[in-house]
Amino acid sequence: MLLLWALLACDVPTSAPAEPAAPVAPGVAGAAPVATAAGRYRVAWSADPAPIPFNTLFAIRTVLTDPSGAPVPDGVVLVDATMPQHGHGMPTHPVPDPGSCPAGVVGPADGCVHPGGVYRTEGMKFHMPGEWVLHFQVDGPAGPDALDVHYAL
Amino acid sequence: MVALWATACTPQLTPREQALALTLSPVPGPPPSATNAVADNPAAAALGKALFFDPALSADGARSCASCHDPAKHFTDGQQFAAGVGAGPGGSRNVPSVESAAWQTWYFWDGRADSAWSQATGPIRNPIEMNNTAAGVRDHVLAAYVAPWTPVFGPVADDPDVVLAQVGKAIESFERTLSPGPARFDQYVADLRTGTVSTALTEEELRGLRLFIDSGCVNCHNGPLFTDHSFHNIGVPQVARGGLDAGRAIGAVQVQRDPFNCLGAFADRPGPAGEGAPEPCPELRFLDNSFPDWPLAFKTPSLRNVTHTAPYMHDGSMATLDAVLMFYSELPGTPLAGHRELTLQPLRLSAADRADVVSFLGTLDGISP
Ligand code: HEC
Ligand code: HEC
Ligand SMILES: [Cu+2]
Repeated sequence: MLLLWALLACDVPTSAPAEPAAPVAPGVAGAAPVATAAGRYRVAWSADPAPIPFNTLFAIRTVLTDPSGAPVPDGVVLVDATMPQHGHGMPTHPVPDPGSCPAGVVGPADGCVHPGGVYRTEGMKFHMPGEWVLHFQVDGPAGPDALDVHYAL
Repeated sequence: MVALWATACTPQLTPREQALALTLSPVPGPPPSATNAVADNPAAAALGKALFFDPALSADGARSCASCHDPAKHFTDGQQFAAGVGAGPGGSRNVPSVESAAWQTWYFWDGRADSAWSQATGPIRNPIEMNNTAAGVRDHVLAAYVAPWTPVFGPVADDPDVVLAQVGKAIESFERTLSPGPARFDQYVADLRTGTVSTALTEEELRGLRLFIDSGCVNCHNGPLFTDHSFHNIGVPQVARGGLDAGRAIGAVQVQRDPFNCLGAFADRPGPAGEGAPEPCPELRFLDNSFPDWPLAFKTPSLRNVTHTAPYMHDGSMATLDAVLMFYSELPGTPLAGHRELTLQPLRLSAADRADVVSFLGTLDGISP
């Protein structure tokens, strides 16, 4: 009887929620290229540093190719992120790298190129643990397209 | 029977709780100061200490930094609001500790300064704090500090703003010698790490630790300083004098405009420069001053030594830690602007649970050497 009481008394604190369920979408490395929503491009992305650190500035490196895998150097890649369950985005303004531009042109803009189809966005920050969605907005010779990637932190 | 009781009763941390507990300790050494060339210069720290305790840094000679940041009270003042200059009105914010200044990213409850040295230039010129001017500070340095000043900064500069920034840099250097101190909780985590059976925490404190983790306090009070260095609207029913306190919504704009910020002319660049060097001030450059969650958001305070720094919250509106836990239990009212952080739900903690969490917070008290 005493033992039973002790076990009960020392159970997990009653008002604490049980262990949270496994994250909805596991954090993916993003290494493998994924087709954009309308299928115009393929996007392979990685975080720097990887995996995405908590509450620390990081960059997203994106490799943009056409569906056959050929690099698209003359496009634009904008990356942003939101927490759909919390209804907010990041506390930062991410900034895409301008690429190599002709004299007098401030990129990203027409005429700027990203050799190898490699684009970089600085200034990302995931300031809360939970489910994030990375939004890739892409433009290039085949027209605009987009890709959403779920990421659990 | 007694032995059995003891075994059954030791609250065991689940693997997830253990993994999270390990992220909360130990406090690492202070990160480098990106814009202060004398941050780790002992002569600068000695100079900064003298300045921190010097009432002559204020216009009427009556008040030093330590008047409000009293070392005997873990660098706070025990008041809801600090008193004003003379008979003038006081401020509308509670005095935070400066023990963990070296580890912060943003300073003040609204983060309107982005370094400890630029923070220090604020109260010196604030009419309700020390009410001085850069020129007044320069005169005082010339009158009282030339000997300890010259080896650190060279001859006293002509530009009063340069001197004011340097006073801040010396004070930051002193603040970097402070720390919240290792606590009993750190011993517990050290034992956890080595797999030693730990006697550092009582059962009550361990239950409090589990509640702290499982109730989601670690969503914001995380890392060894128990802060995410970020800003949240948790919906404290504001009693601030002078109307609504918008918090980070204004602080984020102010820090970008502050001439003493990381991108300004007074910031040192001790790191590598030139081609290929990382661009300075990433936090400031990428800050979104119109982030929709900034209204009424305040900086998550560190919880180390929190039992000694009552009253609590940016407006000092909660007298005890139990009052804070009651607040998280019930989340009364709705914020006057913006919205309460969506992850917060009333925890409905029993009186016993609240006492357990408060006893856990006591394990974060620094052990005096
Ligand atoms: C009149 C009382 C008073 C005086 C004098 C004063 N402070 Fe403060 N200090 C405060 C208050 C109140 C705050 C919070 C203000 C806010 O958030 O807007 C604060 C905030 C700070 C912070 C920010 C801590 C954090 O974690 O954000 C630091 C660091 C600090 N003071 C250092 C100093 C230094 C250095 C001096 C002397 C140059 C000084 N203070 C003088 C009352 C004072
Ligand atoms: C959503 C983020 C968040 C969560 C979750 C959270 N806090 Fe806080 N906490 C804050 C912020 C932000 C403040 C300051 C708010 C203000 O002053 O308006 C604060 C203030 C406090 C203070 C006052 C400290 C001081 O020096 O004034 C204590 C104590 C505290 N929290 C403990 C807890 C405990 C215990 C839990 C879990 C039950 C918890 N917090 C959960 C963000 C959070
Ligand atoms: Cu969120």
